[in-house]
Amino acid sequence: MRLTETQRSLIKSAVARIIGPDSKVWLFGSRVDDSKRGGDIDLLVETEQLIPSRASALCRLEGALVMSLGDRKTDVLLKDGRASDAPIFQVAKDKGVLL
Amino acid sequence: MNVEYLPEHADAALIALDLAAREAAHLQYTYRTLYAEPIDLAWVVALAEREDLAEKIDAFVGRFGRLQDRLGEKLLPAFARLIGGQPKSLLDSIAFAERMEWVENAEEFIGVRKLRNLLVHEYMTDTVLFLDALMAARPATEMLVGIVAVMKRKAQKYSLV
Repeated sequence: MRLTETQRSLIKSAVARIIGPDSKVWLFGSRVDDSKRGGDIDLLVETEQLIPSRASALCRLEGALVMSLGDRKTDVLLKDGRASDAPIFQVAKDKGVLL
Repeated sequence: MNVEYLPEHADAALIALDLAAREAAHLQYTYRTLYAEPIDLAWVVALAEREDLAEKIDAFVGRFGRLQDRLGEKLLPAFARLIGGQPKSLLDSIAFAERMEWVENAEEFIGVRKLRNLLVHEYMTDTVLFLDALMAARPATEMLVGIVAVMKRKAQKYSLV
């Protein structure tokens, strides 16, 4: 996994603050592959809660991640208690790494 | 009362303010036409068949993005330099603007960039999320337009306009 311990900690604390402390976060995509360089930070955030506006939550999370990690490209998927089981969520979990 | 500023940066600040004000006016026009009718899930589903609505969304997202970029990359750094700030990056400029209370919340300002991705209707796979994004874009637009108004007042305070 190509994230530093500090980056992992910043991501987890931003997710806990904005989505909730019960959330789980997976890193997936090219950052999981140690043989690659650079690339977006692709994250799946899962919570059992019902998030009233997933778009607003994703915006707040984007802002928090950019302000703490620097202006690098992050792409976050959010699965809350009512989200349908889109295949991308399962792929992210299967191929990703739980932070 | 004249407030001190660095006159060598006045022209750049005024040009940035003029362009931002024009972009804000264009965004507000599209905003009014887009939200003139009630938007619900059925409206979002109809986007696939209604080229006129899809075009409106594209116009809105384009104008929203241009104004946000103008503020972050031009207007806020120009006003920072006007009063002696030396922001070195976009995030520096936004953080400076937050400290000066030109922007209420830096995270919120940066975060609404996400709406620009969420509102690309060609990639829509989740209609509820798309509807959420359309609703979130309303206060986000007010925030961006509000920043232009704040900077206009600053320009008046510095007797630049």
